[in-house]
Amino acid sequence: MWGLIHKLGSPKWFYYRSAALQPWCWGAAVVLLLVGSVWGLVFAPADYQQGNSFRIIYVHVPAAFLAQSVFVAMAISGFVFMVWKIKIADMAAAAMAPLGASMTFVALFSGAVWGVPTWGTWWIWDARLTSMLILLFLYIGVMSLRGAFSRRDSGARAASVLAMVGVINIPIIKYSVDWWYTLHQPASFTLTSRPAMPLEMWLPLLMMVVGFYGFFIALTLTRTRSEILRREANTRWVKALIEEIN
Amino acid sequence: MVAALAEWVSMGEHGVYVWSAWGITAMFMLGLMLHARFERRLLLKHLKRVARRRATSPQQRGHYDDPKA
Repeated sequence: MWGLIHKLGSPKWFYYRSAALQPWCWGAAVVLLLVGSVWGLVFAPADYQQGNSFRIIYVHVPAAFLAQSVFVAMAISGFVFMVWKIKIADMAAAAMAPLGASMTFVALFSGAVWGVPTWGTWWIWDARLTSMLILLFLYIGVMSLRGAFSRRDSGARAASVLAMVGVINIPIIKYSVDWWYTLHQPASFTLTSRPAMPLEMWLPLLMMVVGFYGFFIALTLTRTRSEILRREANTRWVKALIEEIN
Repeated sequence: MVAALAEWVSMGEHGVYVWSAWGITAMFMLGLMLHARFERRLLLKHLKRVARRRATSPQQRGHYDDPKA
């Protein structure tokens, strides 16, 4: 166990091990997303109340899941980096931040677009909507804080601390629909209870959710690998690697 | 066939909402994918250039290898 953690913390070991994993992650994510999209847009039946506008759920829910999961992953990476000084945790945190911010924006945007035909408004200061907007600002804060220092290590520490503090917003987002029940409906997609929708609507949603997570893993792998080469550029193994492909 | 396609695209008057939400999502995901690719290609190009310079020009050698230079 400790041996594995020790190896995982080694950029070189991670770089070579993840090389084989990477194409599989991309392949699985792309296939799931394509099949889920066609299924959700073409074959899933229209909702009896919302008509076809419900098809926004297939991008809105997975994006909102990722928006929160990426932040939690970033906070955990920040913690690992701060406590054990494992550099690769910080590289991963840096690699995933733009994805999290993008998914937060996508969730907010698709929600606003969905709100027009179903709620009659694109925005209100509902607890869920407001806490998601705060999440977007937290992402922007983490990313700008990282870039605001001339020493990389200082930026990494500041970003880690903000991620660890900001993660308190995640349970607020999750329970906002139960604590302040105003407009946004409670969770309609869980793996623990019976689906609240027919199977032919739920299965494509499951595919999209898994596909989005696959995308997250694949993108983080690719970007972390680039970050490793950039930061380890002066080590012997990266020099040898570049020599080899030159 | 064409009528069925047009009906599908119109999404029963919800087309503008469905397609704009899906469009923005697709744009962001494609953008993130292409960015990761572009970033990697650019970095490799840069690292290769540095390596070549180190290998070919003796004057530059000291600059890259000797910390005192």
